[in-house]
Amino acid sequence: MKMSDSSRLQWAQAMIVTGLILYVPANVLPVMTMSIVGTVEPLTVLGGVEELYDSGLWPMAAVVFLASIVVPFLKLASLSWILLMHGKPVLQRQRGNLRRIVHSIGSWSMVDVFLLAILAAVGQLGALAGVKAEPGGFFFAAVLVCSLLAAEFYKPRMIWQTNSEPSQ
Amino acid sequence: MNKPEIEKPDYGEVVPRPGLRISWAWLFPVLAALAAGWLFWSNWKSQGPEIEVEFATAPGIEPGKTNLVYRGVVAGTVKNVLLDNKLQKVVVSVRLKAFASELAREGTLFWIDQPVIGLGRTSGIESLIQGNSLKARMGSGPPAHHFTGSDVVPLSQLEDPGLILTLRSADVPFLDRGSPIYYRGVIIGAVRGKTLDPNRKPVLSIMIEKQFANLVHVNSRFWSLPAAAVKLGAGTLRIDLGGLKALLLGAVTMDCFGEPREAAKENDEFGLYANEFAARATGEALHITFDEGFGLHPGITELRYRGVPVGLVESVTANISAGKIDVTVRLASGYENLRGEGSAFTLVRPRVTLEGISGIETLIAGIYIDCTAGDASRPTDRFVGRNASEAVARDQGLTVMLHAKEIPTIDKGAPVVLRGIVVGTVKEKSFGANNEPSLTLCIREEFARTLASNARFWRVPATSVEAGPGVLNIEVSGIQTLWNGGVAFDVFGAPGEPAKQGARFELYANERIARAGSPPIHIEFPNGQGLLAGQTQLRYLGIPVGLVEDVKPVEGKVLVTARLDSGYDMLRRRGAAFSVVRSKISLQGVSGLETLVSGVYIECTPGTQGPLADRFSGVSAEASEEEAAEQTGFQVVVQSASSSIGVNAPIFYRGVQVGKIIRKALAKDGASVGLVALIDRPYAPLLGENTKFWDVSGVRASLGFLAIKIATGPLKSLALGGIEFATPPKMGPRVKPGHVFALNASPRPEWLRWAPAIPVAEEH
Repeated sequence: MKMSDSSRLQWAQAMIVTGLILYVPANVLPVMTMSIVGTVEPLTVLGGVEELYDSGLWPMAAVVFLASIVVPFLKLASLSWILLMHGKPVLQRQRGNLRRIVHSIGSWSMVDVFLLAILAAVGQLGALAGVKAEPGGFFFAAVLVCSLLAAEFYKPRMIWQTNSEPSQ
Repeated sequence: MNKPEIEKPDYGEVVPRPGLRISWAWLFPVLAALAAGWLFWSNWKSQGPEIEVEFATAPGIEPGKTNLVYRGVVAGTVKNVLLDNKLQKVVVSVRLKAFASELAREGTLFWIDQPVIGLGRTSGIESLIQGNSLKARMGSGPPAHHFTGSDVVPLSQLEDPGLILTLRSADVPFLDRGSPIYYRGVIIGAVRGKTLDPNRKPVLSIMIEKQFANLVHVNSRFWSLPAAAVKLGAGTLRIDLGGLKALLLGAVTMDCFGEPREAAKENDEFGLYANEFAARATGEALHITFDEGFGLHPGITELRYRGVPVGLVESVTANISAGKIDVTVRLASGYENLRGEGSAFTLVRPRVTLEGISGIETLIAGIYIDCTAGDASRPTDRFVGRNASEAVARDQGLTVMLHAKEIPTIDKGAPVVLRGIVVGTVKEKSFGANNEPSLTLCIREEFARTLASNARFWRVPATSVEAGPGVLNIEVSGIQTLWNGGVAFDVFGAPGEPAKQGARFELYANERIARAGSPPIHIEFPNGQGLLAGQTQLRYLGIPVGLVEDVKPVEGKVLVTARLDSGYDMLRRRGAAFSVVRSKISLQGVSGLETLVSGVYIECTPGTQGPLADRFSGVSAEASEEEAAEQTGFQVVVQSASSSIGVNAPIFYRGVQVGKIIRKALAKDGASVGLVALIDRPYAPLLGENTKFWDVSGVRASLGFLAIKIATGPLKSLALGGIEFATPPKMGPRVKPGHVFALNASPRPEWLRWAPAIPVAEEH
C-alpha cells in the first residue's frame, strides 16, 4: 500500500489511540460467560485471572495475566512511546529494538482471543456447560488488532526520521 | 561542454502542514470512543437503584454472583453481603436492574430460594444446580430501599395472596404449611402456617389466592379433609383418598352452605371443622343431659333422626355436681324443628339380646344419638337424654303408666302384648308416685286405639307352668319375654273409651287377676291353710271365676280378699257360700285330689237373690258340705246306750250309703248317746216310724253249729263303724226330722229280709 509516511504516522497514531480507548472496556466488560451446570458466570479477563489464582492455578494465572493484560498493555504502551518519540533524534536504536520486540510478540498476543474463539465453538455441552463470547472479547480482540495495525503502519525506518528531515 | 550550472531541480518546498491534513484514520478512535462510551452508558443506564434486604440467614448468597430473580428473570445482582453491626442479621445489598427498579417498593417480599425437597412439594430444584438465588414478589407500596426478607418461601410467589384468613380448631393434626385449600375440588389457596394463639389453641393461617378471594364469605365453612379417610359403616367400606397432595399434607376444604352472605375480609376468623358434616352442622345448639357418656365424642358422634344424620355432638362435658354428662349438639341447618319441647334423645349402642341384635352398626361406626321430634311450636334447647340401649324413643305413640306393688322381671324394652301381638314396649321402669314401682309404656301409634280406658294389664311371666288334673300347661311366652318378661293387656268385656295419653293403669300379677276385675270381696275363713294370694282360684262349679288377691290374718281368722271375674255377680250376692277345697283322702273317698297339684281353691256357691255384698264368711269344704247336707238332708237321731260309731260313720240301707252320722253327742241326761244321722234327702222316704237301725260296726262272728258266719259291713264301716237300717214292708208313718230311733246292736234276721217297695225321690 502506497502511503505517505505522514499518513502512516497518522494511522499508527489513530490505531494506538483506538487501542487505548478500547483497552478499557476490554478489561472491564466480561470477555465471556461460562455457564457450568446452570451457573452463569460472566468473566472479565481480570476476573478470569483471579478465578484461576483462587483455584490454585497460579502459573496459569500468571500466564493469562501476562498474555492478556500485561502484554497488550506493554504493546500499547511501547508503541505509544515510540510514536510519541517520533521525529526526535534520540534513542532511535532502542526504539528500533523495542519495535522489533513488540512486533515479534504481537503474533502471540492473539492466543487468548484464539482460545476464546475455540472455547466458544467447542465448549457447547448443551445444558450442562456453555461458553459464550461477550462484547469484552470483541473489544479485547479489537485492542490487539489495533496494536498490530499500529505496529504495521509505523515502519521501522520511520524511527530514524527526524522532524527536520523531509519525509518522502 | 558548456553546460550551464546545473540547476538544482526545484522540487518545491514541502511544507508540512501538521494538523491541517487529518487522516481518515482518526475516525477509528472516535468510533471506538463512541462504542465504549455507549456501552458504558447503556450499562450504567441498565442499573437500577441499590436496595438492602435483611435476612436472618443468607445461605449461598454470594456477592457479584447471586442474582435477584423476579418471575424467572434476572432483575438484579447481589453486590454485597454484610452482617449488621450486632451480628444479628445479614444485610444483602442488591443492585437492581433498571427495568426492575419498580421492585424497590414497600411490600415487596424478598426471600432466598432454596431447594426444598419434601413429601408434599419439591421446589427450588434449579437452585440445587445454580446455587441459591434471591427471589422477589412485587409489592405495591411507595418506593423504599430497605427491606426485611422472608425466611420462608411464600406460597404464592407471583402476586399477593388475595385474602389471609385465620382458622381456629381444637386441633389440626396433619395440616401444615402448603396444605392446599379446596373449593369444590379446585385449589384456591394454601395453609400458610400453624401456630398457637395466646390461649394455646392452634391457629391456622391460610391464604386464598386473589382470583378466588371473592368465593369466601363470612358464612363460609372450612373443614379439614383428612389425608385418607376410611369410613366403615354397616355395609359400606369407603376409602377416600383426597389426591396425592392431600394424601401427604392433608387439605382444607371450604364451602358455603346456604345463601352466601357478604364477602370475607382480610384476617377474618373462621372455625375449622373436623369433617364436612361437622361443617354443615351450623344450626342451633341443643343441650342434652345424659346419665353417662361412654362413647360420645365431640365432633364425631352424630345426632340422627330415623337414621339420617341431622346434627353433631359439639362438646361433651361432665357435670360432676349433677352427676350428669352435658352434651351440646349442633344441628345441621334445616332441622330446627327438632328443638321442640318433647323431642326425645336416646343414645344408641350396640345391643345383643335374645330379642335381637340392635344398633349393630354402632359397633363399627360408633354410637349415635337417636332423636324424635317434639312439638316444634314450643322451642327449647334443653333436653334430658336417655341412655336407652334401644331406640324406644322413636315409638311415638300413646304413653301410659302402670303401677304395681312390685314389678319383677320386666325391664326396659320388654314388649307390650295384646292378644299375642306386640303393640308397644316398656320405655321406662322407675318409681312413680308413692314410691310405687311404675312402668312407662309406649303403645305404638297404630295400636293406640286398641288400648281402652278399661283395659287391664298384667305381667306376662317368662314361663308359667300350670298344672291341674289332666292338665299340665307349660307356657313359654316367646323367648323375648322369657328374657325380660313382658306386659300384656286386654279388655275383658266391652271396650271403653280409648285411653288418654299418660293414663294410669294398674299392673296385675297375671292374667287371672287381671280378669278378676270386679270390686274385691272379702271372705273370712277359719283357717287359711293353702290359700295363696294371687294364686288360689275361686271356682264355680269347677270353673275358675276369680282369684284370691290377698290373704291376711285378722282377729284369729283369715281374711281373704278376692276378685271375681266380671259376669259372676251372682256369686257376690248375699248368701253366696265360699268354701276352701283341699285334698282329702279318707276311706270314704278321695276328694279334691286336683288340689294336690294345683293348690287349694275356693269353691263358690251362688247366693240367693239378695243384694250385692262384699263380705262373706267362708268355710272349709267339709264343713260346708255338712252344712249343705244339713240344709238339704234329713236328720234323725239314733240313740244308743253306748256306741263306738263315730262322726261320719256311714248309714246304709241295703248296703247302699244313704247318709252319715254328722254328730255324736251325749243325751242331755247323759244316759245315752245320740247320733245325729243325716239321711240324704232322696232317701228320706225310706224312713218310717217303725224303721229299725242297727250297728254294723266291726266284724261280727257268730259261731253256729255248722258254720262260722262272719258278717261284716262295708269296708268303710270297719274303721268308722256304721249303721244300717231297714224298714218293714208295712211301713209306719213317715217320720219328721229329728225323730229319735233306737240303735240295735244287731239286726234280727227278719229285718234283713224286709224289702218294701218305697219310691225314693230322684236324686236332685
